[in-house]
Amino acid sequence: MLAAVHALIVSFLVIAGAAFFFIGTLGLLRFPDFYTRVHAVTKCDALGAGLVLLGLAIWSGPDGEGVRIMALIALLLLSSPTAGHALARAAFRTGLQPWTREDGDESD
Amino acid sequence: MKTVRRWVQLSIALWLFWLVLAMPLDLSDLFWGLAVAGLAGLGASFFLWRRQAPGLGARNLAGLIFHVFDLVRLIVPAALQVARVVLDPSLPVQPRIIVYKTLLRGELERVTLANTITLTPGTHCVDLDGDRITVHCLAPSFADALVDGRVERRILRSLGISQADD
Repeated sequence: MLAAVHALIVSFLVIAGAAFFFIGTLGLLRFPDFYTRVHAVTKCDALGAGLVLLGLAIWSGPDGEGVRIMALIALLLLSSPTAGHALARAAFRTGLQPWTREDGDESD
Repeated sequence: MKTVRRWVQLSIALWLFWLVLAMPLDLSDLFWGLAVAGLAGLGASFFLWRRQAPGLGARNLAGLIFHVFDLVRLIVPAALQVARVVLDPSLPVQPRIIVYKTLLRGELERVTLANTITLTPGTHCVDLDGDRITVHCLAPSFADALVDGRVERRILRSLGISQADD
């Protein structure tokens, strides 16, 4: 019974993580320009990978592996926004203009 | 001399982190890990910790760990919000670039602010130059929490830093 609940929680986390990866990829395809795409990829992929890793940590238990995977999650949460920032900054510094909506556009 | 010290500090920090992740048992593994950490530390010493190594006091470290947990709390609504926009057939985005002048003074606090902005719903940090932070928003309203200072106060609180008001 306990093993079943354990497996169920792990499956839920891994499937939810995969779903966020899927949404991130969908955003990559649907969003209109570079900056909006970076939004989708940094947030959804960081959470997706975090959920999958959390599932793996629970699956392997608290002895050794689980603790290491938690350290990886912390690293991921710090490195993912940094990588997204590096991408956006490179684009911004080379003069890539962000896309704006044509209708009712009041930006200058 | 200073460069050598920075190299040694960086290499040891990298080696310790690798030890946590890899937990090698073999003596030769320990040695090769140290050798690779030394090489990586040499590369990093050209740009990391140039002005000063971050203070690794217990208070700062605890603040950083707390901050990571804070990021977990931020990223869930952020990803859900992006998901809502992506899955909406009309794709409701009105992107804007805003420039925000931060009151935070330390380098660590500013970098933390940039990372937090990126993990806040609808905002993504684009550039950080002195106290000017360029932020890309999916819609103008997403910048509200940043502009009224809520985000900055949260960072000061979670890092355990008290900063005098001007």
